[in-house]
Formats: sequence, C-alpha cells, structure tokens
Amino acid sequence: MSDGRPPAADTSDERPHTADTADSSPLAADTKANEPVPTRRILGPVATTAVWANLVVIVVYRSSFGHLFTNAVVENWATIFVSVVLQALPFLAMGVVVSAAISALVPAQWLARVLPSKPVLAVPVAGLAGAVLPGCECSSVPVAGRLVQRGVPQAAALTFLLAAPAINPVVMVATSVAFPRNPEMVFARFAASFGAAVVVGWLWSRFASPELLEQRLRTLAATSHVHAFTATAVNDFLQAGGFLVLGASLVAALQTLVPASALDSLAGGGVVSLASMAVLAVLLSICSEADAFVAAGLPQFSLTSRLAFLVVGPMIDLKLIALHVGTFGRRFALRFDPLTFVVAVGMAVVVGAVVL
Amino acid sequence: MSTRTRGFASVNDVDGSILVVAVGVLATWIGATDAMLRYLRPSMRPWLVLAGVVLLVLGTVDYLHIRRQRSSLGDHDPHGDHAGHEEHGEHGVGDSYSFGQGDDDGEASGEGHAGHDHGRSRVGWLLLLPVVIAVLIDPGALGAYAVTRQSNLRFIGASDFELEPYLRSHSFGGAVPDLLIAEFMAASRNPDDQELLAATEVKLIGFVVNGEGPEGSFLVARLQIGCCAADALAATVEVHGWEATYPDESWVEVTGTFDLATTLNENEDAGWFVSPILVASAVREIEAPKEKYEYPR
Repeated sequence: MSDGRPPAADTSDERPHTADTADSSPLAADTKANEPVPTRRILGPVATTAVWANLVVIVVYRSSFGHLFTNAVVENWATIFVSVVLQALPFLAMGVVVSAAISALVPAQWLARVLPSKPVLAVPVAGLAGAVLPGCECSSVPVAGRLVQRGVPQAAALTFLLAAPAINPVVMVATSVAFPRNPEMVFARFAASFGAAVVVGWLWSRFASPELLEQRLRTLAATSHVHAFTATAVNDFLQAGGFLVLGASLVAALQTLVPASALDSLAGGGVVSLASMAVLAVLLSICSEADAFVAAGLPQFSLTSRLAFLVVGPMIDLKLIALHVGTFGRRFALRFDPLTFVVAVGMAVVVGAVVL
Repeated sequence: MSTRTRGFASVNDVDGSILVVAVGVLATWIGATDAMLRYLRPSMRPWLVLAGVVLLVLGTVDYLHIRRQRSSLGDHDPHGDHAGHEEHGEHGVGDSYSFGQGDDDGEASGEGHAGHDHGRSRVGWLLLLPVVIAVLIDPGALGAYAVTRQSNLRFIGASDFELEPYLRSHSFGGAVPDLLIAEFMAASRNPDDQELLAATEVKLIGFVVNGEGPEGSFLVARLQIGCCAADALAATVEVHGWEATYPDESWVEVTGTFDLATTLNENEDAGWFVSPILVASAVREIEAPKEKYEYPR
C-alpha cells in the first residue's frame, strides 16, 4: 500500500511491530538502536566544565567587565543581536513546545487515515493539515518519513513536510508581529508557502518515481511520554536557537557594519535583492517561527524579496538539505531540493506581485 | 552499547538542558526588568517572561529526567540505550509521531546541521552567546550610531497624524504642545500641515546627535521601532539657532518652531531625505526617559 519501495534492508523499518497494525506498547524499543554509536561531541567533559565555570564567573563579576565594551559599534551590534534573539524567543519556544507535544501525542496513523488516497486530492489536504499542526522543520522531516512508512502517498507526505513548518499558526502569528505595518505579509506568506508546497507535491506525484525516496529512518524509544516531549522540545529548541543566534548576529552585523549605501544598493534592485534574500534563507537555516524577525530586521529589502526569504527558508536550507539526505537519501534530495527552491521563489514572486 | 567516552552522566545531554535553563533565566530576567525596553516593545513583556518561564521549566524537567535515568540505570540502558537515543535526538513513542532523525552516513555533513547526527545539537552551544553578550556587554538602547547609519530607502512616512486637532487639544491655557519627533516630521512633510506647523511653537524630546548637520546645528533624534531594535528608524530634527552644545546621546527638550523656508531650500539640495529644521527658542537637558524608543501609533 505504500508508494515507496520497500525500505532498504539495512534500516530498521521492516520490523513487524512498526507496521500499521495495532499500536504496540508505547515503550516499544527498536533493537537497532542498541548498535554501538561513536560519540562525536564538540567539547569534551573538561572543556564543557570550563565553559560553564566561565559563564558563572562572568555573571557573578559582570559589573567589573562592563567598562571593557563601551565601543559604540560593538554596542550597536550587541543591541540589535540581543533584540532579535529575544523577540523571536517566545515564538520559538511556543513552536517547539507545541510541535513536540503534537509529535508525542498524535499518532502517525491518524493522518494516514484522514488523507484521501488519490494524490491529486491528498496533496492539498496534506498541505492544509500542515496549517494546523505546528511543526518545526527539524521534526517535520522525520514525521513525513513516518507518514510514508504508514502508507501515505509520497507526494502528500512531502507536501506536509513542506507546509507544516511554513504555515502553522505560530508562524503566522510571528509574521504578523514581525510586520506590524504590513499585515498583508501574513496572507502573502500563507498563500505563497501553501501554493509552493502543493505545487511541489503535485509535480512530485506526477513526475517522480517512488523509488527515488529511500527509507532511512530509525526509531528509538523514550522512556515515557513526558520524557519524549521534553527531550524533543529541548533538542529542537537547541537546534533552532543555535541557528537563530547565527541569523541574529548576521542581521546585527549587516545593520551595524556594512555601509548603509552598500546595503541599499543590494536591497534596492528587484532581481538582486530577491536573489540575495532567497540565498540568504538557504544559508541561514533559521527555524520558521523565528525567521520573520530576521526578515523584519532587514527593512531595506523589498517586501517581496523578504517574502521569498520567508517562503524559501522553511522549505529549503542547509539544515534541511542535510536532513533530507539523511532521511530519504541523496538521489531524493538532488531532485527534491532544487525543485522546491525554484517553486518557492517563483511562488513568492507571483504572490508578491499580486498581494504586496 | 555505545562506545561513549564517559562513564557517568551524559554531559552532552545535561548541557543541553542547562543551556535551555540559562536562556530561560535570561529571558525571564530581561523581561521582568526595564532592560527589555532597550530591545523590544513594551507589549512584548508578558510574552518574553512567559517564554522564559516555559524554557526554565522545560530545561529543568528534562534535566531531572536525565538525572533520574542515569541513577536508575547506571551504564546499562535496556531501553535501547537512552543515551544512544538522546544522541540521535529521537524520541519515538511506539507508533505515535516520532522524531526519528535520519542517520547521517557521513555524507552531506554540512555545517548547517550540527547535532542532527550525533550528540545533541552542537549548534545549540551558540545559545550561550546571547547570554554572555547580554551579561557582559549589557548593551544600551540604540543611540547616535544607529541614527548615522540610516538607510536611504526607508523614511518616516506620512501617517494618520492630524496636526490641527492635535494642536488644538494640546494647547489649553497657552501650553506649548509637545509632539513626537515622528509626528513633527510627518507634519513637516505634509503640504496641508506645513504652514500651521511653521506658525506654532512646539516641544520635542529626543537625544542629541552631533556632526550630522551644518555648522552650529545639531540633530535631535528618536528611534522608532516596529518589531524590535533591528528595524529601528530614525526620526530627526535639525536644531538651529542654539549656541550651546551637548554631548552625543544626551537627552534634551527643545522648544521651537518649524522653519519651513529653510527646510524647503535644503530639500532641493539634499534629496528627498531631510530632517526638518527647527529654530529653537529654548533647550534644556532632561533625564533620559525609561522608554527611549518611539513606537508608531
């Protein structure tokens, strides 16, 4: 019943208890997980202790450090940087918490049952489902993989994968807060993202052969629902937060260090500003709950080019490309990612021309 | 099981929870104090505090879970190696949506997806940066530097501000009406309001920016923010006819009148972006207000 080819033999997905039969016990462990896994950490235990110790020192003795940083440029950067992070934080937290809760509570089978079987219909329905279920980019990829395992048509699962991070309520609210003087951005974002997700889904169902998608998903079990929830939320927050910090520091640097005239010439021209924002979205890999604030921090750029930033970002960025490769294989990513990028930019241009 | 280098608690996972707690503390702290006015609009305060508390609780609960797991299981974890599952960041609960992240075979391991394969999101360590910056630098509200870096593509536009009714309602008993600098600018650019503005003495509050106008003048500015400090837009007036000078970023209250003629002259020379010129009759230094930014009404 699944559209995909049978999962490759070296993955764990052939296990009978993960098939779409009655729920196995929630603590079902996937024995594949017991394989030895090399640990790669960026800091060893000694170094991490040093990091924490330094932080404590800085906090406790902060008043004596203050005079070291009275440079106007540094302060300007720091203010913008902190403000973008703080502004995005509530939305990031909300998005991560809700998406983790949904992931912990909503069984994949539910969505599989709800979707119509014909791809032509399933694709837009899956897109709309994405509007209702907040999903961080990080979690929507494995969710889509699980949907395919459950027999959801590939194209519909992929549309869900694209739509859920882009048009869920948290993201829409964040966008409206980020663009208080341009409420039409919210509608434009919704329309362009939904449109792009559906178009990609339809094109994929029409032209892509199901064998392109490998199943490389592994499942590991948490010890309780609550733990599953908190561990996921913490993981997603850390990852999203890290990229937010990158994006915020870049925005702060652009607004502080780059001469205003240089930024203006990049931002003013139609195609150049559109292209730079689209590429920036791919490079920055910011979570969709937070990217509206980064876009709002580059007000020199036209609304349409920033719309492109907001449409492309949740669908294609460096982080997602890696996730796609890891979850669905390289052959898949090589076709899916460029297609999505082009469709996303195109949709942004079209919707931007009409709405903005 | 996994070939971990540590025999005791998985420092990596615990670090993650502590990071979340640290960010939560930062958010709660800034949200609860006036420090947040330097970065965000006042209306964001409850959301920031709420987010901070949520993160605090989330990190703490997660930390406790990990600790409890460690102490009850020691090194041996029958549940598919809790440590291992933490490493993959996967938290599937049977048939429900699980967040199993694909295993990285080592290909396409770009910078951008740290933590997706092994170890808890290494990129999460970056979250220490705002904590350190906020504590170490404790930057103030945007000031003179931001005013000098304004883009020419953005400007304080025409707003809904109606000068006449405003002046009428704020001039009781011969009081000098006070305007927001953005309102002053909007009125100065509106052909319907220019004459009235030029005939009325008004009061403005802002901070001083030196070196931007002709000799003998200084700018009085305030920054408008839409979403957060990143999109700050400067509202400025050029103060003429006042001899005393003030250091950058000192706050002043200026009383004076709009100089329509000179402003229109300069307009032709300087292009479309111009600070309206105000001839001052009185300037006095004041204490910096708590809310330094102007928020567009």
